[in-house]
Amino acid sequence: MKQRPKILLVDDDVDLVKVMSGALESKAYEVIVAYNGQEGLEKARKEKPDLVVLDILMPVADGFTFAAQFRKEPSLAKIPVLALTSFSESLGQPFPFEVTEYIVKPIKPRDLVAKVEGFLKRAETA
Amino acid sequence: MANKTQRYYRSLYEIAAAVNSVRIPEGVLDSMAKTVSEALEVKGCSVMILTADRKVLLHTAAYGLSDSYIRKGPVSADRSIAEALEGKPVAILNAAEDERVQYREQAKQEGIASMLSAPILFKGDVMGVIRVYAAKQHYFTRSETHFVQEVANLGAIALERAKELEQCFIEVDKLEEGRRQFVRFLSVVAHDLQSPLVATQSILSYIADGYTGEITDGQKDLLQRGIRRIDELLMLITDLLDIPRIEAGQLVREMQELSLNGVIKQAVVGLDNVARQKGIELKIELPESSPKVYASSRRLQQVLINLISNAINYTHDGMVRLRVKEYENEIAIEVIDTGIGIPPDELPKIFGDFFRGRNAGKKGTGLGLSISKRIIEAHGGKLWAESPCLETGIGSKFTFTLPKNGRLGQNPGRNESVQSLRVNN
Repeated sequence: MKQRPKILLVDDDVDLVKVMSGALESKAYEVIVAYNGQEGLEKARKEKPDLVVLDILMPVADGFTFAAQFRKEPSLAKIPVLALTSFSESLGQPFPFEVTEYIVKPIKPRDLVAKVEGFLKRAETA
Repeated sequence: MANKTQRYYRSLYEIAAAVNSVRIPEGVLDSMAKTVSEALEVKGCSVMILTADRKVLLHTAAYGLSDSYIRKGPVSADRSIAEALEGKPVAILNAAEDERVQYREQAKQEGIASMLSAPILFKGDVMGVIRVYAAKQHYFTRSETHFVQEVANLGAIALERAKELEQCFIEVDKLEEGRRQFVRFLSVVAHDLQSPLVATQSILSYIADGYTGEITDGQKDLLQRGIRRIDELLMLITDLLDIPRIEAGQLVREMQELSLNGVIKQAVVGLDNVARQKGIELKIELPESSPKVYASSRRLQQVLINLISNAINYTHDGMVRLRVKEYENEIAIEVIDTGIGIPPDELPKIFGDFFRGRNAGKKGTGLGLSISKRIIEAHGGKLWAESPCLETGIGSKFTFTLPKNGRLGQNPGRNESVQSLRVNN
């Protein structure tokens, strides 16, 4: 793995993005931010992140649209995606696409960092 | 003659029974045409309905007539029909020559000699005509005419009911659309109410966890209190929005055939930890071969989590046990604890909305059990409680049932094609 793993954060909530990226950067991750699915796709193609943290309900292109397209592109298909959903939206409800793991909101920035760390470690050893 | 009368009565009885059946089968008019032809021992019979502009009649049902005759074209209200449309039966002895008949040539080719037309009247309104065709020239007797008129009256009822049924379908469609819009509206409300709270909570956690620099214990305590209050509000929003969602039938669309054992296993993930931390044993007893249930996985998990975490909550030592019992038509899932039990005066109220018992802690909205009851009932099952548990003499026992292999309501269809989520854990 590279020295500084690159995380793409796709979420439309500016306040959430601020604290999540702050927490991730404090662990020396390089954080790239996109505020909707469309922007997320463009940045993913350009930056080739090590991991994507993806919100589901977003304007322009939501998480479903993002992931469906994401999985179709050979250069991106293998990148792990952590999907963020709020409790009432999902609780065990299957997504119509493959995400690597999903996280139920609300999540503390600290817990998100722990999830990301654990995930990258597993990806590295796998 | 008596024989004939009997036959007419039997036929009328059969037609009335068909017309009266709960649902109007599409073929009720066809079987009516057949029954009439057979009762009168004639070539055939047809039912023609006036179009909305009342100028043209369309063949709606027929028996004993060739397709080409039926499709010969729209029947304008010719004089033979016009008379019938005025409310009286009309007999034509020689259809090929009688000028009151519109399609004389076709009638001749079809081998029709005589015809009898009777109006289909409902509350004085003409809806169409029933017509009987004889291959040989025939004077229709009074009792035959009377019989055909009676059949026409029954036909009127059948048509009226079909109209009502169609109206019902339109109403059902409207309700369905309203329900869909309501559920969509709720999703938007849920998202818009939760998003600011989720963001605020993350900001508080960010500060509390020291990302913005050192904070004092006093500051941290206040931030934690704020975080807890937001948790309460998030839980309340989720619970409040759950009730209309369940009642709007959203759950039914999520239902699919599931392995009960699998759902239970998923639900108890994490709960064993909670129990262990309290020093309580959580014992899950699953049947060797898993029963199949037709249910919403996430909603069933929600009920299981609610019942088990309640049991853990109100048990200070001993154990919480989940047991599955299979009966002929249903499956019973029991959650038994050795806890403090439910005071007798509270027992009848625990499934009520916002009910909070004397022994309830700070957590909870008082909606958990009432939502669980709604969920189970939407699955066609029952949920009840006993305290103390009759079997053990202590604690409480919550039981819910699910219909065995039950396919409640309609097939959800849409959700069946959805791939299941792969979770790498």
